[in-house]
Amino acid sequence: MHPPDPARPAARTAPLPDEDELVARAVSGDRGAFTQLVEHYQSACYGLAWRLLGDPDQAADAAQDAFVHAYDAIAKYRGGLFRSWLLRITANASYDILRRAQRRPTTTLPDAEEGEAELPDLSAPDPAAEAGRSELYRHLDAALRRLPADQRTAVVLCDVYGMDYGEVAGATESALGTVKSRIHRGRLRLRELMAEHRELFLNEVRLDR
Amino acid sequence: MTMPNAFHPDDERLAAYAGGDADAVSDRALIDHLATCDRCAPLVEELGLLRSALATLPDLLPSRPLRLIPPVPAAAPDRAGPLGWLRRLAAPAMAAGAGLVLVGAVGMSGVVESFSGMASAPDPAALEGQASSEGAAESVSPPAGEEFLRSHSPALGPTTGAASGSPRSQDNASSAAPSVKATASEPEASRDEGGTTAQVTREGNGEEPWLTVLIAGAALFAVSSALRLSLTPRAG
Repeated sequence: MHPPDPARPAARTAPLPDEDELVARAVSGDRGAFTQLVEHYQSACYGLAWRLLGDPDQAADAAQDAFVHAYDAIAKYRGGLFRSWLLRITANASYDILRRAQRRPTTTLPDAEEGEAELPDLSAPDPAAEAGRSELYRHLDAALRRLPADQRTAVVLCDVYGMDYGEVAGATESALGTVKSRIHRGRLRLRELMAEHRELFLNEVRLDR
Repeated sequence: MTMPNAFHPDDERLAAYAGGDADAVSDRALIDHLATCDRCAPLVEELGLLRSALATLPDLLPSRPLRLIPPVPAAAPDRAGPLGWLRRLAAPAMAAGAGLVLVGAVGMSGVVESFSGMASAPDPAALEGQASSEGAAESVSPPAGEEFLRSHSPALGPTTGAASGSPRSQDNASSAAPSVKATASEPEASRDEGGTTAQVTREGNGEEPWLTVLIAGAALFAVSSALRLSLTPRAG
């Protein structure tokens, strides 16, 4: 049914019209309401996991782990945007998988002891992913994949998914100062990586306005 | 305003400002610098645009269908399957079989014969009555009770032949049989079991009916325990 396409874009998921009511029902143990919510946001969760992990299978695993954790924790849900809550859980699940992978280095994954470990270079364009995707997004995702893992995680959580410093620190189990530094250095590094496509990038963003 | 360019803020500070970092955007010196610096102001603008682009990156469709919700743990009765009711009958059937073995053993030991006919005759019948009524509550008694009655009706005759109480007890036994049968809805395996032992009784020995009771009880016990074992759901 689905080709093994690791990154097919989907419009950013907007909240459901009856989301508050669905959340209330899910909190009180309604499995159907929970399923509806998770189904609605699964592309958001998968997208986050894919950007953190860079691998379609691991991203799918992380999203599913997150849904299990969310189901266990839904009774303790206390307000806020459901999407943000679910994305925080997805970030935790992804980070768990990322850390396990770094603890058990393979030939494609350098040792993490320097703290600046890079994932394998995933910047090679994926032909299937290119279709229907704007040049800007393609280059941005490619540049994100070339960031050092720590910086990529911080920038993805903060700038792509709108988490604040505290939420990023919580998801990555890092100190606030460390997180700030990673985000700021990551932005600067990303700008260098996007240098080749600067014109495209500046033009497209300006056109968007 | 020529001086500030000699003291550019750290680039990380500019990146913080571009991201709306609360501390950076309230930094008076930084704001003043950006107002005049030809190097830093464009950099901050570019970083800001980069950031807005990141914030609009699309969601991604999963590479495979995702499991959205953990499965409900299957309830125990479901796992027992359609034969669960048969399994529940097995335990009482085993008890009834064990009871028959006991009755048969007691009978064979000759303890019964050491008493007078009058006293002895109702004794095993009462014992059996207990066993079968216990079984009936679980609706398993039919095979056990039937076997016992079939094999024992002839036995009661010889042992209590001269006794005045014998007609009465035999009456009870024979009248009990149909009523037990009426409520019977026995499993096929047990029915077969009952049939064969009844045959053995008729063809075999009228002289040693206790042996038949013992064998029948042992057989019932073995069949029902095998049934129970084979129908017990496997873990996992």
